[in-house]
Amino acid sequence: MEGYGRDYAKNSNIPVEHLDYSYIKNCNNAKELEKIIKVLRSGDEGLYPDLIEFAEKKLETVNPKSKMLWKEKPAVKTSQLEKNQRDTLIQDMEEWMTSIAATDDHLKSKSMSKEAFDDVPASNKKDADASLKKSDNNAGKPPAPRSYSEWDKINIDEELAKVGNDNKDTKSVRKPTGLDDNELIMKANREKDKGNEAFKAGDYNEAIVYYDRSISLIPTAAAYNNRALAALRMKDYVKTIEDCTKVIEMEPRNSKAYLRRGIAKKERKELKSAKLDFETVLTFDPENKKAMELLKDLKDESSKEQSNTENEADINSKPKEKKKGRRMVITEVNEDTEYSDTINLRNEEKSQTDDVKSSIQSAGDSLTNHTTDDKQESDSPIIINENAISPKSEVIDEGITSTITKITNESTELSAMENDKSQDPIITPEPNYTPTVAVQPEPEIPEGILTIKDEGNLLYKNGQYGEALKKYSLAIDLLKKETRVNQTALASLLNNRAACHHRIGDCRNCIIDCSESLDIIPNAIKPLMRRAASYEILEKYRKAFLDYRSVNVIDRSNKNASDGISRVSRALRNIDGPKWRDIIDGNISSNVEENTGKAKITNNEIPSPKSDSNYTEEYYIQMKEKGNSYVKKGNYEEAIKSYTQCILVRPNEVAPYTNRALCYLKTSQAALAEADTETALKVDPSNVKALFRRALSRIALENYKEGIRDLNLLLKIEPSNVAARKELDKAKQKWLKEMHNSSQNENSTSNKKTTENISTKNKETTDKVSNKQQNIPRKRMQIEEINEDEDEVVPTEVLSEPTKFDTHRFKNSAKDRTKDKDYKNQSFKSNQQVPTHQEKHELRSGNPYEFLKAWETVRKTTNSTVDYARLLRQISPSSLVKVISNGLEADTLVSIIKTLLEQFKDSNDDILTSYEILKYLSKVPRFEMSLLFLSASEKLNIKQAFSNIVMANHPKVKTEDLTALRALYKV
Amino acid sequence: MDKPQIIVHMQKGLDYTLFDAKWIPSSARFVVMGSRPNGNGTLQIYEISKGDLVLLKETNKDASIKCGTFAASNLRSRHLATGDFNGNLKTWDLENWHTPVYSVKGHKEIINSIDGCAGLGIGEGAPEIVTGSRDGSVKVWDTRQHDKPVAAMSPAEGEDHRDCWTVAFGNAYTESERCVCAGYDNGDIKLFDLRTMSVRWEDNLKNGICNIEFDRKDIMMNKLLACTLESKFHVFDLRTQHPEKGFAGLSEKAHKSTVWFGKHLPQNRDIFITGGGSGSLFLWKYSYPSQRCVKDNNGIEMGNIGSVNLQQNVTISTQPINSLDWSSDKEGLSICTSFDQTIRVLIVSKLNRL
Repeated sequence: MEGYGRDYAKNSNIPVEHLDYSYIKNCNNAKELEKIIKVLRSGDEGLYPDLIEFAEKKLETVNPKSKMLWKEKPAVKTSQLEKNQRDTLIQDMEEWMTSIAATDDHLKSKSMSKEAFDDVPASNKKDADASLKKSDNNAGKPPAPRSYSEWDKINIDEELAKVGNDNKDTKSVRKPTGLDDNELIMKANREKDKGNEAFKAGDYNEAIVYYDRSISLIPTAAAYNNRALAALRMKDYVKTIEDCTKVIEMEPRNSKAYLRRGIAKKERKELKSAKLDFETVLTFDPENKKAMELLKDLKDESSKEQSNTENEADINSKPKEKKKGRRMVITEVNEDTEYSDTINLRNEEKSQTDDVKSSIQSAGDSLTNHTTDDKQESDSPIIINENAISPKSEVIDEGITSTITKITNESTELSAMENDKSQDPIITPEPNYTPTVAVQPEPEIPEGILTIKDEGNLLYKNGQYGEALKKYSLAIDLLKKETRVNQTALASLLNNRAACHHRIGDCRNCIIDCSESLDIIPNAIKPLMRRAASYEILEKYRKAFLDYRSVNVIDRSNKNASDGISRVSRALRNIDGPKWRDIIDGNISSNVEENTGKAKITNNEIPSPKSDSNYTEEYYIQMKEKGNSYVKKGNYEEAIKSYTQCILVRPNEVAPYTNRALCYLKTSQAALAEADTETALKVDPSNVKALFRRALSRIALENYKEGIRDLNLLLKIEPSNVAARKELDKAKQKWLKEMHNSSQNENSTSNKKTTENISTKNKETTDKVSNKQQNIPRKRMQIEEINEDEDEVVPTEVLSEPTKFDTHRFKNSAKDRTKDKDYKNQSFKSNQQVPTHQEKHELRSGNPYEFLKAWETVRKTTNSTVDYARLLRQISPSSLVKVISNGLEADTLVSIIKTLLEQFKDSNDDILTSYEILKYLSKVPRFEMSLLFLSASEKLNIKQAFSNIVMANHPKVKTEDLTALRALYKV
Repeated sequence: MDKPQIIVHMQKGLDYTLFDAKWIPSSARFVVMGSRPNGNGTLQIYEISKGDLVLLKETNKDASIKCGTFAASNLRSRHLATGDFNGNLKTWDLENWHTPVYSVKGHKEIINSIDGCAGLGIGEGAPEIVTGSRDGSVKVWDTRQHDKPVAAMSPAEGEDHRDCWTVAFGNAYTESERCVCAGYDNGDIKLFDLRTMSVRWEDNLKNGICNIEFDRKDIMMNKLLACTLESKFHVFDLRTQHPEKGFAGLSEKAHKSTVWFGKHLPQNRDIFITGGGSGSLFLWKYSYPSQRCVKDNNGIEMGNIGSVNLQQNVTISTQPINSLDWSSDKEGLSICTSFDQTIRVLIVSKLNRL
C-alpha cells in the first residue's frame, strides 16, 4: 500500500474512481486518458485487461497519435502468418528470387568485362585540402601536403576537358558509355523514380529535372507522361501538350496522356481540340469519370464563352453599361488597366479563332495541333505588347525622361501578368493587382465627375498630359466638394494626376499628389513607385530609397522596385559612402531638402521647357556637348543623363537619341538602346546611325532576324557601309548557331521558333517590348560593369556586341560547373512559368557566370587563343577580378597566359593590356592556388610573357611594378 | 489491416559478433561482416533460397570488420568496401577475396562508418568512399587514386578530437555537387560541402550521433535523418538553409534506448525504419508541410519541417539491433544484424499503400 500511495501521487492524482468504464467513456482529455492507462498498465490498482483495452480504444479516438498506444509487439514470423497471407508472401519472394537470380547471373557473367567507370573523371577535389584549411579551422587538416611534382602528374586539363564535354546542366546526365541496355534502363528508371518522389513531395520543378534526365537516357512513354503531369501542375500547358503528344505517338491508346493533354488544352482555351481529346479517352474507356466531368465542364465553358463575347460586343457599343470589373476600369487611368480590358477581349477573339483553326484541322492530327499551340503561345504576349507599346512611343515623342521607359516597363509587366491571369479560367477577368481597387461598395461617383475623368483618361492616353492634368484637377476639386467623398475614386484621381505630373516632368507636384493618394490608401504600389521615381529624378535618393523599399516590402516580385532600390542605393553609396544605410535610417528628415545642382536644373528647367526658347537652345547644346565629352571619356552613365536632358528640352532632335542609344549599347542595355533608336527612326526613318544601332541592339537581344533586317535596310540606303556588312555576316552566323542550338535544346525549341515565326506585322512593336520585358532581369547585372568599361566609343567596337553575347558563355571549370547548373536550374524554373523568357536571361557581361560560360564555350569549341583574346579584349583588365571571381582555375590561368603570349605581343597597346591583365589576374581570389598547379612549361610561358613586356619597354609599365608582379607570379 | 506489417521472414544464429550486413546489389545474396572472439574479422556471404539462409562463402581476415558498403562500386564488379578495427579501408572482389582490390591504411584507429557514392547508378560523378573514424577524421577516397584521400576533414592539430561515429554522402545530384555529413560522439553534426570544401552547416544534437542518412544520395539535399543516443532521432529539411537558424528540424523520441540507425526505404524516400537498443524496429513516414519554405520576420527564407508518423513498431530481439539494410531490388525486403548474434531477413509488407 505504501508503494501504491507513492505511485499514485506520482501519477498525478488520478482518483481511483476515475478508473471506471463510465468515466473513461466520457473523458475526452487525451492527457488524462494517458495517465489513466499508465496507472492501469502499471497494475498497481489490479489487473483489468478489458478496462485497459477500453481505455486504449478511447484514447485512440481522442488522440490516435498518442505514444501510449505504441505497444511493443513481437514481430510476426512468416510461419505465424495466416496461410493465404503466408502463401502470397512466399510466392512473391520466390518470384522475385528467380527474377533477381537471372539479373545476378547476367551481372556475374559481365563482371569479368571491365569497369564501366573508367571514363568517369575523378572528382576535382584535389586542391581542396588546402582550401579547407583556410575556410575551416575546426576540421581542416589535410592528410599530408602534396608535393608539386605529384601535382604535375595529374593532367588537370585533360580531366577537365573530359568533364566539360558532357553535362552542361542538370537536365541531362552523362550517358555512361559501356553500359548495356539493362543498365541504362535501370538508370533511367532510377531517375524516373526520383522524379516521382519529388513529384509526390510537391517539387514539380525538381521532378521535371529528373524526368528530363530519365528521358535523356532512354525516352520512355512513362517518363514523358509523368513529365507531362508535372508540367500540368506547373501550369506549363505547352509543355504538357508536347509531352502528351509524344506519349500518344508511342502509345496511341494511353488514355492518361489524352486526358492530360485535354486538360492542358482546356486551360489554354483550345476548347474544341480539348473536347476531342476527352472524347478519345471515352472511346478507350467509356467509364472514365474524369473525362466525362471534364467534358461537361468544357461544354459549360464554351457556352459561357459565347455569351461573354456577346457581352464584350455590348460593351463596345454602349460603353456606359457596366459589366463586372468595369468599375475598376473606369476608376483607374493607367495604361495597364486599359489594356487589360482589350486583352480580355482579344483573348476571347483569339480563342475563337483558335477554335476555328482547330476545327479546320483534321481531328486526330496532333502534330498540326501542336504547331498551332506554339503559335498561340507566342501570340498572347504579343498582343499585350502591341497594346503597351502605343502610349510608349508617343511618350517618347513627347520627349520626357527615360524614367518613362521604366513606367512603360511597369505597364508591360503588369499587362503581361494580366494576360496570364486572363488565361486562367478560375480567376475572374478583372485585374486585381492594384490595391487601389476597392472591393467594398463606395458612394457612387457623380456622373459629371466621371465624364470629366473619362475625358482626362482619353487625353492622357493620347499623350495630352497637360490637358489631362486640367481635367483631373477639375474632377478632384469637384469630388472633394461632395459630401460623401468616394475615397477610392479620389485616390485614383490623384494617382492619375500624379501620373500626368510625372509625364510632364513636374516631379514636385507628382510627389504631392502621390503622397495625398497614399494618405487615402496607404501602401498602394503605383503611387509609391511613381513617387519614388520622382524622388529619384529630383535626386532625393533617400526618400526614393524608402519608397522603393516599401514597394519591395509589399510586393517582392516587383522588379522595377528592386531595380530602383539597387539604383538608388548605388547612388547613395556614392554620396554617403559605405555607411549610407545608417544615415538613411537615422537621418531621413534632415536630408529631405538636400538638392544637388543638377536636381535644381531638373526642377527649374523641365517644367517650362518651352517658355524660354533661347535658354533651352543654349541648354540643349550645353548638355549635348557635355554628353559627347562624357562619351569620349567613356563615362556612359553620365552621358546618358546629359542626353536625357537634351531629349527633355528638344524631344524632336534625332542626335541625342542615337547618342543615348550608343551609350546604352556600351552599357549593355540593349533594350533601352533599341527603344531610343526606334524613336530616332520615327523622326528620321533613314537615319543610318539609328538603323545601325538598332540592329546592334536587336542582335544583342538575340533578335537576329530583326537585326539582320535592319542591317539589310541600312545597306540599301548606304551600300558602302563596311561596318554594317561585317556586322551582318556576324549576325547571320550567330543566328545560325542559335537556331542550331535551339534545335538541339528540345526544351527551348518551341518557344524559340515561335518567337521567330511570329507573323511579321506585329513584329516591330512587339519585339521591342518583349525584349524590354526580358531585359528587366538583366539590367541589374550590367550596371555594375559600366564604369569600368573604358573603351573608346568607336562604332565598330560596339559592333562586337553580338559576338560578345555569344562569347559570354565562358570558360568554366570543374567546380564552377555546378554553379552553372544552379543558374540553369533557376532559369529553368522561371522558364516553366513564363515560357517566352527562355534563355534570354543568361546573356550579359559582367558577372563571373557569364564570363566563365563564354570562356568555356571557347574552350570547348575552338580552344584557340584568338577567341580567348577576343574575350579578354572585351573586358577591361581591371574588371578581371570581378569577372573571374572565384572561378579561376589552373587551366583558365594557363589559357590566359598562353593567349597573352600569342595574341598580345604586337602593338604597344597590347603589351600594356597584357601587363594589366597580368596585374589584375594576380588579384583574383584563387590566383595563388591556381598558380601552384602550373607545370614547368606553363611557368616558362609566364616568364616569356613577362619578358615580352620587358622587351617592349612600354612607358606606362614601371620596372619596379613589373618586378613586384613577377614576384607574385613566382618567376 | 492496411497498415504495413513487419515480418521476420528468416533468421539464423551465428557464432560471432555481427557489425554490419549488406545486400549484394541485384541479387538475393548478402554479406555479413563481423568479428570473431579472437579479434579476427569475418566476411560471410549468404543467399536466401527457399525457406532457408544458405552460407555460400566465408573468409577470415586479421582485423575485425566494422562496416561495409557497395555504394561506390559499379554494378558489374560489385566490390565491397570495408572499414576495419585497424583503420584500414579495403575493397574486395567477392569472387576472389583473398587479396583486397584496394587497400589503404586510412585512419589511425577503427573506422566506425563507411559510405559510398556514385556507384550502382546512384549519384552522379566519380565513385567515392567516405570513412569516419575514432581518430576524429573523415576522409573521402577515390579507389582509383592510391594512398591519399581526395579530401579529409579532421580536427586541427592539437585540438582534442571527437570520435566520429557516422558518415553519409548526399546531395550528389550533379557531377560535382556532393556533401558529406558526419556525426560525432559528442552530438556534433557537420555537413561538409565537397564542392566548395567548406563546412556548410554544423549543429550539436546533445547526444552522441549513432547514424546519419540522407533520404537520397543522388538528389538535391532533401532530408537528413540523424539517430542519437538517449532514444531520439532528428529529421532535418535540407532544402532551405537559414543563415542563422540553419536547417529546420524535428526530433522524435522512440525506442526507449539508443536509436542505432535509421534507414530510408530505397523505393520511397519518405519512409524510414529506425532500430533501437531495445531490439525494436519502428517504421515511420514523413509528411511534408503544406509549405516547405517560409519567410522569417526579416523576409529571409527558412525551412519548415513536416512531421513523422509511426506506422508500425515491433520488437524482434532482446539485444540492440545495430544495422539494417533495405534491399534496393525488392521493396520491403531487408536484412538486419543484432547483438544477439542473429541475422534476420525481414519483410515489411504493404509499404506501397503508405
